[in-house]
Amino acid sequence: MEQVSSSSVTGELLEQEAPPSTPGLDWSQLPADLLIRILGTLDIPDIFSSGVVCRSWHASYLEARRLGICSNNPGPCLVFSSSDRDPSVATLHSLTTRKDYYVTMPDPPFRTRYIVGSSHGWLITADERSNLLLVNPATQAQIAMPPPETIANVKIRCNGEGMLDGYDLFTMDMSSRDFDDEAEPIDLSWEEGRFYFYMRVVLSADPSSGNCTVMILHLLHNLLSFARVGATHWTWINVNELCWNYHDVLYNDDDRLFYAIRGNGDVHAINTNGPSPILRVVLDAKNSLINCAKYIVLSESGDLLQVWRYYHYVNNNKERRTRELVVYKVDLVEHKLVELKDIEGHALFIGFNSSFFLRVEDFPMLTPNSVYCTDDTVHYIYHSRFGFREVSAFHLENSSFTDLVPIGSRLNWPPPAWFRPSYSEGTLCHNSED
Amino acid sequence: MAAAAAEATIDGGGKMIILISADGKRFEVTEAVASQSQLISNMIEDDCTENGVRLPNVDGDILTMVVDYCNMHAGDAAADGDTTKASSTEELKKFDAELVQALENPVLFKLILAANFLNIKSLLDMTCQRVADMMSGKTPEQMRETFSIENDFTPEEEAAIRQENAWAFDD
Repeated sequence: MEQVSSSSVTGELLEQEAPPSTPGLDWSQLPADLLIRILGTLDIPDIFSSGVVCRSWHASYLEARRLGICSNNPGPCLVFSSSDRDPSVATLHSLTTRKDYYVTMPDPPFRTRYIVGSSHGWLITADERSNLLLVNPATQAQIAMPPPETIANVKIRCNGEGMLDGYDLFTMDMSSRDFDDEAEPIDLSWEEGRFYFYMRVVLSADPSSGNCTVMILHLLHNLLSFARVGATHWTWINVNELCWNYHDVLYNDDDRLFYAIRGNGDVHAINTNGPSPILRVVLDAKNSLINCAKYIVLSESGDLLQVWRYYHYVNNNKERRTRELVVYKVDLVEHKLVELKDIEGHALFIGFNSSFFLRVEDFPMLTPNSVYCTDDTVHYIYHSRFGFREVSAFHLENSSFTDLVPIGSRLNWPPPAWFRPSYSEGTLCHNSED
Repeated sequence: MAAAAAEATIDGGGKMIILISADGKRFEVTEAVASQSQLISNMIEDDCTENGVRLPNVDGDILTMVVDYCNMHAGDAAADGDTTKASSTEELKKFDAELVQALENPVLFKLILAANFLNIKSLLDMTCQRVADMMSGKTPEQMRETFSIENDFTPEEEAAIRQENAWAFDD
């Protein structure tokens, strides 16, 4: 064996730079920067697992956590409450690994909350007083949004004895942009309010980033209101007389606009970045038929898509299920909808979550050209709170369904939703504030 | 393969460099091939590869794999301005997939350290991804088993860590 020659300057230099050779091969001695690099491609549950392996991995795990390092393409989970766990525990069923993870959540207990959305690694929930709480299960950070009584058509109600006992929900007159004096308000208990105030909740960014706008879709008549994280009240979007009957909203990071779809298929672009909201009609569907739930989705290539979801009742009217899903591309040039028979081989996730596409190449367990859906119909969940909750995949190619309900789990309350766990970009600031 | 890469001369890439492993094995490669290592690329710029490059913490068997990898991917690097000489993408994908699949524990560990030391980003990404795949979906116990790591926590410490992170695993 040739010895390293001391006559070679290069050799000496490298020898000094070289890390000390590791006697034997011990993965616990993998250099921290390499382990952290590896953790940066892993999902949150795997990162937590790695932190329990041994002391040196635990140190790297803590560092990764401090830096907020994890996969930027996390796998999809179904979040729900398992009946065999404590009420404070959220169960995450990973579609990637087919495993369940149990996360103890900050108060109030998870099972008392209503899940009304998810995005950027955050769950959007409403508590039993109908306050909106954003919570990140990976960091345990929690952010409260302005209370419901700051929504334009909501007031706290006083009963005959002068006691505060819930909310009054008013009908808005779209031409005067004020309360409709002719209509009696609907009285809601503290707890009922959440079914009316949060039909859909969408975040413009990671809420811990310091610059996040939250858009809510609320009753009556499916209005939109927004508030920035840290603000004191909700601002109603009432730019014109068409600002009602919305079904879904998304946020487009590229042009920093919200896109909302109305029940008739109209699409509105809403700019909330200036002093007052600006609205542009992107698609006038010239359609008055509202016989399905409509979603608006942004494809990977930047196209706006509409998903029309039709329901029917089965099993002696006990179960409400999706009968069919139709996907359309919004043709912005011709101003019309074009039906798509495939979604570029991707998988689409809809429900309370902010809709997202995943590539089947990245997640081979997913079926291409399929729409993974959960239940998100407020009136159905409200009236049948512990009833059947649909969790299924619809395959566009042959219009068939696959049920995805993990066996043995109680899935009815809170309603299960799709979720991709992730640290927040703002983890660093957050920890230093704690 | 090495010959094909040698033909793909860029900026005097025909010049040869000698790499010398910890156990004294010598590898003659073109500058273009060796430059995929950022470390060696910097040394070429600094003109200090004259007497051969000694790599005292890379074994011969590992350096063989690294050189094979760099030979295969030299077309890649040269392809920027000249697409005719690049190895086909298909071929490369197949080569990488086979290489990574064949990696078992001790070799994988050494190859990661070598890729890191030599600063070959694509090889480092690929080997790190392989480790990540081996960790994915595993409980801490399964990770210990996969990587033959001894649990050096006391039971109390381990319980405290599991408690603290609030995430429990379905075993």
